[in-house]
Amino acid sequence: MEKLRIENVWKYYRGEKVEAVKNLNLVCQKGEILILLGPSGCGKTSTLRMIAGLESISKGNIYIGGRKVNDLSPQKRNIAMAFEDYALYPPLSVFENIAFPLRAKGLSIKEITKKLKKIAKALKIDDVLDKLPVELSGGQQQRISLARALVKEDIELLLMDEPISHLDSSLKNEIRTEIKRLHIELGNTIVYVTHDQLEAMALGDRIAVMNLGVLQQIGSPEGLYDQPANLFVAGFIGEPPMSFIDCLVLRQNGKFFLGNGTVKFPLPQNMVQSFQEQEKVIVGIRPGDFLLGESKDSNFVSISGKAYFIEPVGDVTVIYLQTEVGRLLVAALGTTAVHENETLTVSFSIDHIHIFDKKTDKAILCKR
Amino acid sequence: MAKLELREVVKKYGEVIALDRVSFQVQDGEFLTILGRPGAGKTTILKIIAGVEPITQGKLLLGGEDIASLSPEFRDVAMVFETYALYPHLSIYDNIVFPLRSPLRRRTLSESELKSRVGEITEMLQISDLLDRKPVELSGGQRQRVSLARALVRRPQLFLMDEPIAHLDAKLRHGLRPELRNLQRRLGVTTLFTTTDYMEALGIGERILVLNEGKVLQIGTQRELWATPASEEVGELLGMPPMNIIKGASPRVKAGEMFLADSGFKVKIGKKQRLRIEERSLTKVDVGIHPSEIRLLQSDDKYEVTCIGRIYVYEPLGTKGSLSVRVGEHTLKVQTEARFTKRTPEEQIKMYINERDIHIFDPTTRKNISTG
Repeated sequence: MEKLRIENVWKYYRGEKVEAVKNLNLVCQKGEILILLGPSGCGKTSTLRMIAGLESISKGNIYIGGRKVNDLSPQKRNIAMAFEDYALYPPLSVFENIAFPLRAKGLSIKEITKKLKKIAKALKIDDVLDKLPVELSGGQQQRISLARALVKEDIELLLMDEPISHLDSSLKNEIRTEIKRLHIELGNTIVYVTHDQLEAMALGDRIAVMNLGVLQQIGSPEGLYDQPANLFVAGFIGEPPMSFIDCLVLRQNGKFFLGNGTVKFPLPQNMVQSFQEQEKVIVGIRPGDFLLGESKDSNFVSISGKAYFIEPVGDVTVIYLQTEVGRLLVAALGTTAVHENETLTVSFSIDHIHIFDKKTDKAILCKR
Repeated sequence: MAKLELREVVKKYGEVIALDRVSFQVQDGEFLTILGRPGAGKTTILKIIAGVEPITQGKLLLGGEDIASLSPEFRDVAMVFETYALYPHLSIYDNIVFPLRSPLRRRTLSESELKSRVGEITEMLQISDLLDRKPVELSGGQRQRVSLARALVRRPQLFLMDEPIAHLDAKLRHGLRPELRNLQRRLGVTTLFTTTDYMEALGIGERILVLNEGKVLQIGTQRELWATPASEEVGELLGMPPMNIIKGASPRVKAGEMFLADSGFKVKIGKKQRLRIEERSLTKVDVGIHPSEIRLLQSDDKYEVTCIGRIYVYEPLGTKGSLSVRVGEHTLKVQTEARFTKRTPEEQIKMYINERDIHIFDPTTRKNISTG
């Protein structure tokens, strides 16, 4: 069942000078966490604020639970919000702040306490329930606002704007896991905004990647990672980031190859689209898809280069390789015996490459 | 020559202790990263070295000379901030040479000397084609390089970088990290670099100083930190997901061997660690395990089962996945391969942990029993 539908939505600021959101179309199904992901200025927060009713819709329609909400105030949209600037009631204790929407519903104190304790424990604020908001850190206040949104019942949609951005990395990790688990148990429908691709991957059922007001791609975390639709998504998702190699389509004895300098390899067999000779493409390879050493396998391509920088980061070693086709980032598991300035050969399978049209930045599809 | 040393440095803001008896040395030409959460005191360390803030107590030595009472302009230290304040009305070239034209400099350089110095630095940072432009015409990454160039062009004795690339996207960060480090090596400038990101800290630093609540928790190479975190707090700062800490497990001796037993798991303890536990007569210990050291067992695996749990949540992270498993009262995070498919909540899962990969901490001090 559809909980949210965004239809041909635009958002302008300053007359029509700034186009913050450009012709957005999105659907969010019941029980799913949909992530709006992108760098600052991509239009993700404007989109969320239009869904919430905190910003007007310049053009297009938004439906929540099948009802058009363009002209409804936020209170009438049947939603809960955990926003960064969403104020808590200063004179009320943390408990009462979270309980507020439940009290308004007329629930008994016993029922309220039971619901609230579980969520407060998961978000690790169960030890501050008697305090006042002013006594808490920014990260704690953020979690109170999150808890208040999560306890709210009988709502169509839960909207979250960077709800854990103020937490340090280890707590952020824990809370992220708890939000995902609570979502599995409660089955609520969530639209969640973040700029952090790792958070989006970890938490989302589906991710809508935005850039400069335009939706780039929408799909599951693995779908975006394995089949990015364009160069932007390919570069934005994944850390260390994907490496790119400029290539030219070549033809020899009736067969197509991709080449750059002395590096030449056949087109993957699973290519869907046919190519023109001399077409310019960009080949993308994820750091984890390289193997150290040369490979004799005909499906593999080997490239040599100089390891100009090595980053050992605990269980992974990132090797920066300067090759004749440009700089490549290689991620090797564990510690490696590779030294800086050493000449190194790496290999990758042509079945794991991503190919983009140099003119349009769009992915040329492979079957996977 | 430009060896830096802090001895028992205390910095107070009123009654608040921002730095608590901080002592460390940075060798001439060394690149030291300072890793810590927001508010740990990282920026304060840089500020007291730069002279922007006075120290409350202790000694601050640069090249053997006590610089604590020197005003900032005489310390020969350059600082780069995360927010790069460039002068909007000046060209990129004029922005970069600005500190060299400062009347406070003891020796002024001729315009041709300036030009060759700027040329050298901007060549290395790949911004030499941008010199005639204004800051507003540049991307964030380019502006950050300009502010780096402005600091480097002074050839200071000491380079202080306060999260200089934290707000750039991953592609730019990975592009700039090797550049920055190789540049620093070529110039041979002693450098302190702060970050909240463990990957950046371990990746770029020759040594890493771990700071928490104004105290130095550990200083060492990335290998030392990873293999022997000095305390639970250090472990919690390292890894994605970070190290698991199981609190309050009980060491027990059975058939001549020591085991750690707790609800749901049983791990053998190596001889050295056993000795330490017995020396201290610890009845409870905290156990640290990196998520990458836990092996998820298939039904046909021949490993001994060290713990059994139930799947709590699975989180895909791109190159890898993170599986949270409930074992008794604890939630263990386990690193998985990228396309891990076993992810149904409440499903039972068996795990193996090697005794070599267990880190044991004293529950009272939270320090590693092998070092502390």
